[in-house]
Amino acid sequence: MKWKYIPEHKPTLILIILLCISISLLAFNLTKKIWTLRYFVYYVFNPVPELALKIIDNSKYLSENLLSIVKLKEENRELKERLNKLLFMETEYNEVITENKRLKELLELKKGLTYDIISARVISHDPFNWFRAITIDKGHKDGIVVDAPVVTVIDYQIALVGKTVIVDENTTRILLLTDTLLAVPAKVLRTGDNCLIQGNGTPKLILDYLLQESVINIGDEIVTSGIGEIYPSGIPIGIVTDIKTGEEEYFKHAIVKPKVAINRISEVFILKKVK
Amino acid sequence: MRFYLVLGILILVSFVLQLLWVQYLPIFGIGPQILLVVIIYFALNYGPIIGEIYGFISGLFLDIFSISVFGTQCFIFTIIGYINGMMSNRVDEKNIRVQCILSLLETYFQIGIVYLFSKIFLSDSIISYKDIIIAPIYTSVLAPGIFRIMDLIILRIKKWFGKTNQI
Repeated sequence: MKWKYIPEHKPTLILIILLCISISLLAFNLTKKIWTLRYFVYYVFNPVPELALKIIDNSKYLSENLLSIVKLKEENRELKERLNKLLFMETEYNEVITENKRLKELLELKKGLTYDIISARVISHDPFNWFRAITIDKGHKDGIVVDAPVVTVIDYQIALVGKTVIVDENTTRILLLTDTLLAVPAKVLRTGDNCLIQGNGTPKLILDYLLQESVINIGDEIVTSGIGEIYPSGIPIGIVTDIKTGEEEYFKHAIVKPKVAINRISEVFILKKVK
Repeated sequence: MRFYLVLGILILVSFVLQLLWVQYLPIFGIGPQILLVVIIYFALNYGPIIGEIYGFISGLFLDIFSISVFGTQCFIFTIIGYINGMMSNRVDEKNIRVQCILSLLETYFQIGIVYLFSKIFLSDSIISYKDIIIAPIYTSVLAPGIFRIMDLIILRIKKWFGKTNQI
């Protein structure tokens, strides 16, 4: 009787068994365990800290072995992050050392000069001619005047950049050495022969008015001569790279490579005469 | 035996399809209950035992990947499989209206039970108004298409096996 009854109601019996299992699953409250396990699976495929945090928060639902995988991975990620931070700090530290050296160099220059030094940042280059002019972020308000010499420090060496030409309240336009309108009284450092340095709109400068009997060699350093009212004496301008003789009766010409690379100027120093 | 294996694979495929559908073709973030329609299809065509067993297994799958209380989908899909299986000789499963209405009502049944269990076990509702409005309609609209695709697949499988009488 009993055996006949069961097959007749087989679907109902199976339903009751399956529902009992379902209710047991509900009663055991496996939800958090399953969620933690799911977070773990997601974490394996996409190890993000948020998931790791959720897993660690629900650590009691996960076995110690699985938990240690997450912890190790997180620790590894944290260490990598710290390493990146340290590398960044190292770069910053090197930058500070470089700046420190540069400022020390400038301080040395200041000691021997009767000039005040105003530092400024380059904010733009002349859009039509890269070798003509630059604009800086300091102006009349900061004490900058027209026709003040401008220098910079490149590779721990001071070099002439040009002179101020248009001074606004907050910005100043600097005419670069390489512009055709700028001429700087200069001398050959080795011999002391006076000459004139002119820009020609290219990265090179032209050395002019050097007497034929003057001895000039490739590699000679050219510095400002101090003649005139604008530039103090001894500021490095560039190095002779080519000499042209015989073209004119009285004077020699030479090509000079400026010490300052126009595209590398980011910070300049304006020399202001102390009255 | 091979047939049951194929049914298992179909459940798995429809489960994956449901997950993908929610990800790529949702309406306001809500996807259709493809797995539910597949269970209805099996139950209507093959009776209550297959309906409830496959309902239970697919519910278990869904429980692992859904945010509802673990065991809820098992419970719901088992009941749905059983009820539809019991109706297998009483309704015309080829009728589109039957397919749509059953899918609509049973999606509401599923939402209702999930709401109830989440209130009891989580003391919070995980059902939004979007679930109530979009999911049943989206599911019932797609149901005839799913039924048709399942028909074609089963027919092809029968041809492959060449044992029509056994199925």
